[in-house]
Amino acid sequence: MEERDARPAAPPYIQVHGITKRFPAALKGQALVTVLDQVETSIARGEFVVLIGPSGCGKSTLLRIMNGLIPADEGRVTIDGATVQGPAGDRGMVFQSFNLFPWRTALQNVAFGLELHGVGSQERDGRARRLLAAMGLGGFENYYPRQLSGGMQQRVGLARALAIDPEILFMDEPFGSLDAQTKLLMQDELETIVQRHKRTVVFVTHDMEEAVFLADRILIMSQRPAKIIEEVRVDLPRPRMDHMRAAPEFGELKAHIWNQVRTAQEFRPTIGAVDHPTAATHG
Amino acid sequence: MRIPGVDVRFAIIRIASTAALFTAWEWYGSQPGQFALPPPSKVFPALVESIVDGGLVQAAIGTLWVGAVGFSIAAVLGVTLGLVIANVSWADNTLTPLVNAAYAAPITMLVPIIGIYTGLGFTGKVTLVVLFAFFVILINTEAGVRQVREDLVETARSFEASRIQIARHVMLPSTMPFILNGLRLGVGRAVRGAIVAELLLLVSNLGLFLIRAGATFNMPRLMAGIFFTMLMGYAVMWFAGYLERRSLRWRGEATY
Ligand SMILES: Nc1ncnc2c1ncn2[C@@H]1O[C@H](COP(=O)(O)OP(=O)(O)OP(=O)(O)O)[C@@H](O)[C@H]1O
Ligand SMILES: [Mg+2]
Repeated sequence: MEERDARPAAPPYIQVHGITKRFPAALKGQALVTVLDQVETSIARGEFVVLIGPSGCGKSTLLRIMNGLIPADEGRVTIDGATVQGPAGDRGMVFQSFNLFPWRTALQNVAFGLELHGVGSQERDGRARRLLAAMGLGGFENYYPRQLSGGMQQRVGLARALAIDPEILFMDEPFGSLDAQTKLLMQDELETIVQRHKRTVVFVTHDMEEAVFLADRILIMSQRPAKIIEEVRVDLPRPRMDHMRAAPEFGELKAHIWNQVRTAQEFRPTIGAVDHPTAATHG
Repeated sequence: MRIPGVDVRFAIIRIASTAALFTAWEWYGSQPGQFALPPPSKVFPALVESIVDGGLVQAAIGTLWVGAVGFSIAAVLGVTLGLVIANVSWADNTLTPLVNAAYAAPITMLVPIIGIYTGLGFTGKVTLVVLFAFFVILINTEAGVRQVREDLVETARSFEASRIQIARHVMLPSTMPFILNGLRLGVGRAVRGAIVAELLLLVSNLGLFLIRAGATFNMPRLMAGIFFTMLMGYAVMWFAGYLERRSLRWRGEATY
């Protein structure tokens, strides 16, 4: 297909070289748990990459390492050739558990990054207001996080990351708490924003439909210790439109990914697991 | 502010219970042979008289001034040292045992030592107030820093916040409820410290008022002084609590 050849060997923008991460076990004296095992991948500028994998395999951990929030035990991440040493203001992160500042209103949360970077209050409030409106949260500017539903909090977290207009967006299940309709709207919104600004996105999800709709490429991770076991290109044209969800290729890709994920998910007991919770025999 | 019905109900309960207390007090105080605890019907005239002749108000202002100066010093020292102990491990190791020992000790026993070091005047009184209020502020501040959520620090870091920005935008607001709670408790202890200083270190102001009334067995006047002191403490604590609630509105109604 032409589209595929239109962006062939783009030079890697983000490179992940042999990333290994171990965490201390919950109990003292137990061996370290290897979460990521020699993870390799590279991402082109402007690419939308989706990470999919079983729960607990290390997707959030990989995002945090790529963004420089935590160090890896082995390997390194480079962005534009420079090794990542820590977080940077031109990279944004949407956290899986929202992480809103409870003492800040929705508006103040969204304006947080701009405030740190010294943007004047007029401009940052204006930008925060517009983003909240785009997230369907107009009118909730002065609500504190505890006064917002989970899905609303999640969208505030998304707006907060978008507010600094980052070069790279790391998004950890950013639509995980949304209802089906809002989720579709937000996917469209994200597609528009990302296409308009040609941003690079690394996006974690458990939702295959969302993965196919948004991704240029889907990386499938295995159980812990996790590796990237499969890469699937999505060659649907951009910008993605809602009607594409009905296209036969769309369904085929979804089915293919589901197959791969199911393989990755093969139940591998690591801690003394019970084979079958016995259906107790009645006497 | 609140649903009027609820407000009224609270007001009724409050007035009724206060009235019941005063009735009981009046009954007990007017028992024949009762001397140590005069009834309100004698205490309140004495209170009005003490206020009108100026002695009590002036004494209270003197006491509050000592308390305020000492409290301000204790607040600055307590918050600063609390932040340091929570962030610097050697300070924690060396100072925490001392702080715990000092917090548990009755400060009153230091009165003779303070007297020798600082003299019995204003400095001595303020020093005693500082010792009364300081530890509870320090301990609360320290506890506050220790409960700062690591994920929120990480969030700020993801925006490339500097150490100072993290301190200002994450540490400080998450520690604030604890600091304010410490300050509120500290205010109460400062008032207590000021009165103790004026009873034990150098008799003056409210201390003088109380001791003079006691020494002349003017029980209504003594009770008036005690009652006034308690009212003053209540007002100070209420005001501190009000400030605390106001600055913590983000936490909602349930946790004040
Ligand atoms: N700070 C930590 N200390 C110890 N173990 C950790 C820590 N952070 C993550 N882990 C472990 O690393 C593994 C991967 O966690 P991670 O949050 O990256 O998974 P995930 O793929 O994002 O899962 P999910 O899809 O459920 O969000 C888990 O087994 C978790 O227990
Ligand atoms: Mg995760």
